[in-house]
Amino acid sequence: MGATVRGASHARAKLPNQDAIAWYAPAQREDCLVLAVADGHGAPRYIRSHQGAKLAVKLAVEVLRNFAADRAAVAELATLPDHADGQLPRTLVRTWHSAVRHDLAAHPFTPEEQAVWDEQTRSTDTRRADDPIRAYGATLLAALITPTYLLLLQLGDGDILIVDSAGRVVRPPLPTDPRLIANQTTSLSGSAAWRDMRAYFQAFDTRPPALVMLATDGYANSFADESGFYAAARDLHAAIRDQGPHTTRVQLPAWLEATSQAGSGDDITVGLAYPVYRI
Amino acid sequence: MSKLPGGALASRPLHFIWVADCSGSMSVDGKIQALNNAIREAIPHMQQVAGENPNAQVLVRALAFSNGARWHISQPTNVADFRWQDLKAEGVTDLGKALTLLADVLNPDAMPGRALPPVLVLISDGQPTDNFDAGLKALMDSPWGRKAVRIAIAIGEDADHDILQRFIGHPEFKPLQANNAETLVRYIKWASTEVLKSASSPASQLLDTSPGAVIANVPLPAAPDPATPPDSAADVW
Repeated sequence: MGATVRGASHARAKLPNQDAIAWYAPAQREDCLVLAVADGHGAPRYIRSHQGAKLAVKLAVEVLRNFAADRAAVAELATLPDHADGQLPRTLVRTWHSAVRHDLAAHPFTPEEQAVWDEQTRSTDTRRADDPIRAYGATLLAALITPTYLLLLQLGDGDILIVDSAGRVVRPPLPTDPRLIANQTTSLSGSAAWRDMRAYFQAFDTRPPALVMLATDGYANSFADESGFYAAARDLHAAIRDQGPHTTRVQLPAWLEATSQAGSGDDITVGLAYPVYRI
Repeated sequence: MSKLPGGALASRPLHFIWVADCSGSMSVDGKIQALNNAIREAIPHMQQVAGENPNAQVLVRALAFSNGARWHISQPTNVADFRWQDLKAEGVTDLGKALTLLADVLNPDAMPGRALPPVLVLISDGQPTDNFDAGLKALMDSPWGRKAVRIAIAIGEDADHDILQRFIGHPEFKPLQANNAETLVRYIKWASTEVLKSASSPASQLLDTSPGAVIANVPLPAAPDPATPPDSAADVW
């Protein structure tokens, strides 16, 4: 399940919600679950970042479902971590770039968008900033969960937390990227973006984690400290367990709106993956 | 669940730091008093802008440099409670030491990752008398110093624009030249309000790692024109 809400400051500035979420829920126990969230860049030059985020999550779900169905790829993944670090990120980035180019061809900038784009790119010093694909810039966080393994992918800012059945919360050991501060992030639209994608693969010895939470950075930035953010994952796990998924799903958007209001003001998107048979 | 998931919520801190030249030359022709007046006058406007964005917590402090550098107002102070204390001018222009002191507080230990890009406003009327290069390197080596919004205001014709340009570190943004008190007021107010407004809105953007790429971390609003003096004598500096 998941929800995405427009941030309080975006509402004040009359900007759209630039986040997106998509998932594929397993139809049966042996099936895989795929969850993806994306955060379109908020700076003025990213005039289509909300669309870039939507494309990112839609394509991530498709690519990861295909990946999970490819037994050879999965077998290789278990023995060759490079597969997660190389081929799959390349496919994700290439697919997104291709979809954006198609979208641009089918829907060229409107005169209003072109005017904003020209003004914004004129005022930057980046020699490649005039590639219109950058107007769609977005981050991507994705999780593929099967009965036997967990695969996490992250490009850009945002957070992934894992909760175990005892309510303990950890960050998966994805490599840290110290460059991701001050609102600057790596992006699907970056040159050689696949190199910036971080991956984590874990085969399950026993059973999957109780909860995997993917969140755009507006969520963690709303809490006074890291412990408060960890508590959010723990509380959401408890809500699903104690109140049930339906009640949690209904309340989630209002919780996130109130959190943005009193916190970061940014758009917030939270995706929650949990094994149905354990709740 | 009666309360929201998670711990205490908080707006994002935005550190705004005045970096003021207090060398002896600032006492000539009332420059230091003009600076004191300009900042004092800007504070209510700054408070108003900060009040319009409840998702940013603006924290202000001030650093002074002359013979060495020191925190003039060391505590990051909520802008609603901020009161300006007059600077006094005396000594040389140890800008390098000021930047080193800045770098000490612009690291992740002192400033958490959830903070907004800090705003640094440097005001100077002269040329550094110490090792500016070392200070600038320390600043740009600090994670938040490199990402900060860096504004420079040159007071009078003796200010070193090349030095101020290197502090800014962006080819399209130039030092603002203030040749009289009225123009200084305009620039100080612009930095305290328009720049603050831009910096306090969370607008993410691509981290461009290509060689030589320079992107303003925060889109800067256009600076105001200098005040038009009634006659040439108004350009007193």
